[in-house]
Amino acid sequence: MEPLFRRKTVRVKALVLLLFILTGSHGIATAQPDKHFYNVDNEINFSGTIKKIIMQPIYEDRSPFLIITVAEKKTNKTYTVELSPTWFFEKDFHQGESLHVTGSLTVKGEKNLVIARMVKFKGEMIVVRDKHGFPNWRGRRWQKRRREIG
Amino acid sequence: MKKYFLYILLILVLSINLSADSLILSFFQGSTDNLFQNSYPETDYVSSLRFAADKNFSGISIFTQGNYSYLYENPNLAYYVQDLGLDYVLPVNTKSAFYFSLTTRGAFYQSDYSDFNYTALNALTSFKSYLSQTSILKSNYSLEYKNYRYSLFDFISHSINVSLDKYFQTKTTLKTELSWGYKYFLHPYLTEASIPQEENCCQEGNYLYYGYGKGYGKGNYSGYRPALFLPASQGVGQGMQNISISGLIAQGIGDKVGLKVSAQKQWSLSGENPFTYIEEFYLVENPTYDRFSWEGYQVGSQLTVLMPWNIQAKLSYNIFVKEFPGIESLDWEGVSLGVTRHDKRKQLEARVEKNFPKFSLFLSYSYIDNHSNDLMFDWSGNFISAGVEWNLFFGERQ
Repeated sequence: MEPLFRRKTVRVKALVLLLFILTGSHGIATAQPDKHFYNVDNEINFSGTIKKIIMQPIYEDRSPFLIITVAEKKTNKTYTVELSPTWFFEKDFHQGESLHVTGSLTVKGEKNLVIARMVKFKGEMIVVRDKHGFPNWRGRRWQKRRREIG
Repeated sequence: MKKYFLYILLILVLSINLSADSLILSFFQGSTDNLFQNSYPETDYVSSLRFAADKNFSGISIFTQGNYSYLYENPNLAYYVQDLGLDYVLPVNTKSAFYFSLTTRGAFYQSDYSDFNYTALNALTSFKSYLSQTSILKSNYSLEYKNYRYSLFDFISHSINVSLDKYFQTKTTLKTELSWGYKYFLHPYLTEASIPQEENCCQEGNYLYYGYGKGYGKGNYSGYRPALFLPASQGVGQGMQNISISGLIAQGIGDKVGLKVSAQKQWSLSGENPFTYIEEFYLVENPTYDRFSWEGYQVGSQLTVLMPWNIQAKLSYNIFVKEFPGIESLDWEGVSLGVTRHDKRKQLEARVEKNFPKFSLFLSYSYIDNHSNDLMFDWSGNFISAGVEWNLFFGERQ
């Protein structure tokens, strides 16, 4: 029979290997330079009021995104805020609601486009991306399904 | 345990090698002083380990998740649930979209509870549309089929929900929802083949007696109860149909405070529960209890506050008044009292959550006080849980 300490050593090695693979794989996550992506150096914060909501395809072969137009409270400057795929939100946004947005600003022509990372809304903080801009909605579709049928 | 560990390890490695877009790992720890939620309180601790991964192919997403839960005082109730599915979002225009998903599930319990084992198929169609910039229409249709090891539980169900909301400039949202559901037990009658041959199962008279866990059966209290199904004739009492209407008022106070008040009324349109009694377990799905099993109403309120350091706090209080059609209150010996079971439940919940860049933490507490005209289910309990969720992302940053 295999000694107990040996079996434990094998398990520990397997766990270390797993963590190594996971950590290593995480390192391959990279941005595609030609694509529209989250730039952490251009991060801004603002509070505002929702003026318009649409669902619009942005990325090829991906679900349409929820896009909201927000007027900043202090300056009344208008931002187009890209939130996430529409299925991610069970939160329902309406015109006139106030919220606080943290995200990366890209100026395209006269359009101030913000890729949202975090939204404070009705006493909740919705984390759309992590601080490096990686989407937080991935892997969560099963949760949506459970909520809807539960 | 070792077998499950190897399965999880295999799935994790496969997820990575197949270039999953993301991987979520989470650990959950719960504790309760009333696991079986009855008047014979039993303390237990539940540890759950979960993973979820998904991969996108031309707009279609394939997702999977596995959850292993271990109960320290009732290891025979430990279980593993595996989901595998795909979904797709179909935009109609800039204001409307359909969501489709198809999911398979397998749930596997240890020894005494292996009759709860099931495989399931769920198809969901959702539609969401902005009727105007301040009003949203949503509808869902769900089809579910469950096949249990103990085939008397097998069922197919249909559910339809339609909701409509409207936001007003006073920062108030009004929402109403109409739901209809039909659950059809495929064969809720006793046959030789449907009765599992286990030590804790026996048949006596017109009932099938069954003992579950340490808190159940003949051992822990005087007498025992007939469980599971009342024998029915084929084609009789197989379908249960209900309808409900609910309303919600939500008030935003700035962007850091939200308040909700809601109410729901549910009616049974036809059919009755084919069980002799209904039970709920903490964190463990029990086939005798679901949204089809009751009629009555619930009212609730919820306060949501975003506190300093972006800690989210939720405090809610709910009252449920439920009657269970077809379920008669029983005395301690399992003899019918001749009245339908009626419960009134008060439930207080508090939860705090903090999201960090790569992981999130939560802590929650709830207290439930359940009064029933069936003394077996006149109980109260405390439930505490804490968890951590760790997100890993692969592939490109969008």
